[in-house]
Amino acid sequence: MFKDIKDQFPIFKNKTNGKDLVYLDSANSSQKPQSVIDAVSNFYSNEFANVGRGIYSLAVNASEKYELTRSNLKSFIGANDDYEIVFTKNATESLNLVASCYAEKFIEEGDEIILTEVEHHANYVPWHYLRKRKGAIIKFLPIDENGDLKINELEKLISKKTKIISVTHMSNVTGSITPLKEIISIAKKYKIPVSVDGTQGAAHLDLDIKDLDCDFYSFSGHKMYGPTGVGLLAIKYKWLEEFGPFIGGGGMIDYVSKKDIAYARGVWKMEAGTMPTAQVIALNESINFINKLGKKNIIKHEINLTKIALEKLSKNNAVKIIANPKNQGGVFSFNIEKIHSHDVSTILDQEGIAVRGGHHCCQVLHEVLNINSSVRVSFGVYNNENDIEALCEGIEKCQNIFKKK
Amino acid sequence: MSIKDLYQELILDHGNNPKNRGKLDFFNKDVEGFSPLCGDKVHIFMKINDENVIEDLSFTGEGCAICIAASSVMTEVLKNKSVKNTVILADFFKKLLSGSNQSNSIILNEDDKIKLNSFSSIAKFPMRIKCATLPWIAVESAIINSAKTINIEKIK
Repeated sequence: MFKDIKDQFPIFKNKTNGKDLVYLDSANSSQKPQSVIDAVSNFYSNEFANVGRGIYSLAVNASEKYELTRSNLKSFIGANDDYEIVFTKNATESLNLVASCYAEKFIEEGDEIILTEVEHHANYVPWHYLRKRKGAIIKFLPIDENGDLKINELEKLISKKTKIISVTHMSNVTGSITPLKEIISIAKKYKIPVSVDGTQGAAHLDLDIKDLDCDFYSFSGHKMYGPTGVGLLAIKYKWLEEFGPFIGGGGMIDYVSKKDIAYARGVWKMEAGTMPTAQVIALNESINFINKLGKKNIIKHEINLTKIALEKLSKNNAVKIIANPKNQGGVFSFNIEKIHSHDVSTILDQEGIAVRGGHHCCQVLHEVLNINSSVRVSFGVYNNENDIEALCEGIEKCQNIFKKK
Repeated sequence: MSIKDLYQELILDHGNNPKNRGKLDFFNKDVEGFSPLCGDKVHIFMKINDENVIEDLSFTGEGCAICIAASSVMTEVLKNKSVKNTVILADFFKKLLSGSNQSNSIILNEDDKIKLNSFSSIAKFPMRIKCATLPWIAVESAIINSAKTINIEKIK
């Protein structure tokens, strides 16, 4: 669909192990278009200053560009004035911010947190801290035999003690898309806030946050064709007012005296110290990049690739796809009979194919599925049918190497 | 370096049909080794006699072909070796995989040497070295430090 798009990504000009790169690990991190790389370089070469401090022209311009990304991000996710965007270092930090600041005020011993069996460790470990620190209880919404969440069991998990629900937008292993609207509408009935791990959603799925009406949405720049080092948290403004600060330092204060300190308000309270300025500014280019292609086209492209890949792989009896979601994005995982995922990854790597082997930071899910590990394929805008062809050939190569003589 | 150098016949044979897999009926030393990053785990059981010789050993566990093959070959090589020589062999194997040159070890017979040398190509695949050294480091730690579990990521 996106003809010649690989030309915009300089990484595809290089060979990997002597072969053309077939990059099938966008759920881990996406490759970067030249426009984003140039934006980082241009900022450092021509426009660099720290933001929010100096009153000289360079600093003012940098601050304006930094804030431009913030406002463009709001439009990108469909946020109205109820929401703000906080910059963090990655989605993991955004999720930690939510868990930590929310718990500080609202979670006491015996209170319950609802997660799901498909969560990435980034949306489990921060809540586990609360289990240890505060004596909170974690409940897991289970999956069905297809790998989809059992939404009709959610109400059974909710009790008077339920203080927050935190779910992913899409499983980073099975590609199962979470019916967020259903979950949020149930949560609203009980006045329970909902936090969404949007790392797999922001660049790959439909996103209109005011329509979703979740309380928190955590995502990261590097998974949306942007730079590493910048994470995002869309947060309802009322929570920003309620929350205490996350980390302390310069920039997040109103005044400081020997006796006491007053914190800044709004997003400033959450952005202590020097932020990833160049990365935030370059992120603007990745928003432009995605907008130019069109989110609808991207979704169509990636879901179509998944369908083609699954169709082709279904002809190979040794390949077992680990889930069969009703509503699936550009991600799926599989195992080849009697070959470990790491052996598959190594052999594919020699063919220039980058896939992820292991548990993809989802040990709970792998335990539930009763498998030790899997091979994950995830698509980005630059993938095409040739990549799927290469994958199928690579899989056959694995089978040949492991074929008993 | 071709992928066939990594997946040599002996490694594939042992990976597909590992020897000495299962728990020993009688053992007086055992150790679990795991690799949190990739999920490999092995549990090694040893029967060490009064002369400090490993009379018998076996393993259970899950992992990639390289980890399972290394565990299988290790149990074959270490059978009837003294505890002292086990430590020397573990060191030999680690050095072999780090690609460093070393003098021929006197305690290795030709058969053992061939078996262990089939792992030498792993040195060219840095991400996979820990798959092969996991069972050896587990045994070494059990002997030297009486370790019951080891996490390969925490060992230099």
